[in-house]
Amino acid sequence: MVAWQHRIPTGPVKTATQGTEETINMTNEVGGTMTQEPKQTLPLLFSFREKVWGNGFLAEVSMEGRALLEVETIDGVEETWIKGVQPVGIAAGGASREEAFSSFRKAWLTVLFDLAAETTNFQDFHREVEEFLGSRVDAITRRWWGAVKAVRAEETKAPNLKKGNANRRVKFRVAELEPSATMNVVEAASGKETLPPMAKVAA
Amino acid sequence: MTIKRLFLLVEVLNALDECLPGCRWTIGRHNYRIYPPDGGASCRFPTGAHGKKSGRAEIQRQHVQNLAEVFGVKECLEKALPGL
Repeated sequence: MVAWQHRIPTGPVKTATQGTEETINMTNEVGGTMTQEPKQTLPLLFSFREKVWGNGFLAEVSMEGRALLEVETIDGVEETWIKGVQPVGIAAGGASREEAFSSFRKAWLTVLFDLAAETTNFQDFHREVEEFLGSRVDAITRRWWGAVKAVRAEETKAPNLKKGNANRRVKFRVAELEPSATMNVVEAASGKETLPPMAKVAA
Repeated sequence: MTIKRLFLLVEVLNALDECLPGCRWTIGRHNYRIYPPDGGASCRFPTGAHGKKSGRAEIQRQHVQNLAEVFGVKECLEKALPGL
């Protein structure tokens, strides 16, 4: 269960990585001036588990990964974006933290769907998914740790968010399921989620 | 500073040609996948509903910013794509 019930406070805040305050004046495509207030950055830990149909196989993919949540206010309207740290290279946004997290989970899943469609057997799918889930970039990982440091120093506030151990290792698993598990997927699809998404602030 | 909320895919790809020559891209069912020339981590944009094959698809600014950070070409892309 995601414990995001309140929005991150708006207004000028220190960015987690740079520790500076600034206001940027911007103009949109039709020429109206917009004001962007500084971003707030939170380091997230997430846990996903999903079943994916491929060409002649059924797989279960689970992951405990890392992401960065960024909040920016443009012309008074708050937007939240979540960017993958591991896996890297995916991002999703929304008007609230809940919406952004839901979109991020969907983005993660659509990559698995793409890989399932592009591969012809479980072995190839397994290899491609492991490459995706293991992907990271040092500079972004360093930024994530910078955000962790800011949370630990209480420079960044994360009200009403659960905290998790930032030292938790990133883990993932790609397993082929037996046909008997297929029935569970069908049942799960018609009812509750197979595993609710979990997200915590890394500290 | 002028910002844009959306960029055409073709604009992004042209800017990448300038900043990181040798990138290639593919279209999946749900995502465009952009590969850097050095074989490092790739980046994905959601395909959206329109203009999938014409390069007219619109990509949200934050996706482009994410790509710029992943590929380590932030400064160059910001110059090549005014409004980023």
